[in-house]
Amino acid sequence: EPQSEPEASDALRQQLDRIEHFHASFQQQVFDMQQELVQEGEGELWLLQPGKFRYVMHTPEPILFVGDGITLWFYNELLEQVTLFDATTELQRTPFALLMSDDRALWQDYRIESTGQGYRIMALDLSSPVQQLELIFSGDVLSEMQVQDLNGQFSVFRFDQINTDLDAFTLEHFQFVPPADVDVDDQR
Amino acid sequence: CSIKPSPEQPILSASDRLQRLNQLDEYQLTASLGIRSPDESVSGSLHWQQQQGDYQARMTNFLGIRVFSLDKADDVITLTMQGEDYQAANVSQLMFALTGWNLPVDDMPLWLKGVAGSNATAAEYDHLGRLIAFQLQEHDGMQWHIHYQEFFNDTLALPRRIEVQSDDIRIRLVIRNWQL
Repeated sequence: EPQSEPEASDALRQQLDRIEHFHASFQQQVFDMQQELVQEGEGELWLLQPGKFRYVMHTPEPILFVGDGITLWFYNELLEQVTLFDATTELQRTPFALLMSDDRALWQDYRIESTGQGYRIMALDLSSPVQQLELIFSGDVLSEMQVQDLNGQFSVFRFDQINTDLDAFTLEHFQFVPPADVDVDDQR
Repeated sequence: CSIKPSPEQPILSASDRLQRLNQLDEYQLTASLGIRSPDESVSGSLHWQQQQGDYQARMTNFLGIRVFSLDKADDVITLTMQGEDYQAANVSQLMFALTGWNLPVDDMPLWLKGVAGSNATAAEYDHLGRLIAFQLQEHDGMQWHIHYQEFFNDTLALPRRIEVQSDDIRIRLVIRNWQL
């Protein structure tokens, strides 16, 4: 098994540790295997060490995905459905949680290479839905994330950082209380 | 034209509407699709493009990852899932074998537009004569119950919210727009 360049995974680790908290709006574009644009979206992302994230998609459909490091809540407003996941078992499928995780052991499941502008993170498990992640930084600021799946379809998130001070990142910000009439599907 | 929820318009008579729905074999739709089974829950955007008997369908999750794609051309259906292409006589059965969930694919081009095919039984209609529910048995013997909860309020009243259920699989579709 090709091992990560040790320096690359350490460097990535330090780079991510420097992201204490992060808030940005994003534009998303999804391209299929023929590089055809198949979907566009936009929304907002909050990240907070350790393990917390809040992902709000406005288009193409209203989605809220939040995690407090213990539980993940995936709320699809149109479907009136919220799915609860156990954070530790779902990390593989959720790059945002992976980025903010302080579980060093997790990184053994990935091969990491440094690229000129950031890092390429490749899943060693060839059946993992997220096959490859590419992170691009401008300075210490995350500016782009590319997610590639098993079929070679890939999704590009371009981030515009919003300067929000730390006290706006409350714990409730990373939790979700489902509205009354919503179906709760607890997959934990 | 692209159909989105629009103000109240005169509805066709039930028979005229059904005739137009039956003739409708060229359409595109984008929907929010949620599939719940005992061991997995997936959701994402479904894009469906129908041309006569053929269709191309793609389900993409919020991250942009393809959950599956389904292409029917001259009676051959190709399912792409988990990075592999499959051609099978019974796609629904294959999907179930691969993931533990599936969709009633055989008659999907019909039930998506609110029409019950020849495999449908126990059809129910609303006061406007629109089909609102029926039972469906697929070739693999799986029994499904299809329920139309909401229609677009325009002349053709195409489905907007569809609930599809078998013993332990529950599918919810909210169609965001139709393009005819």
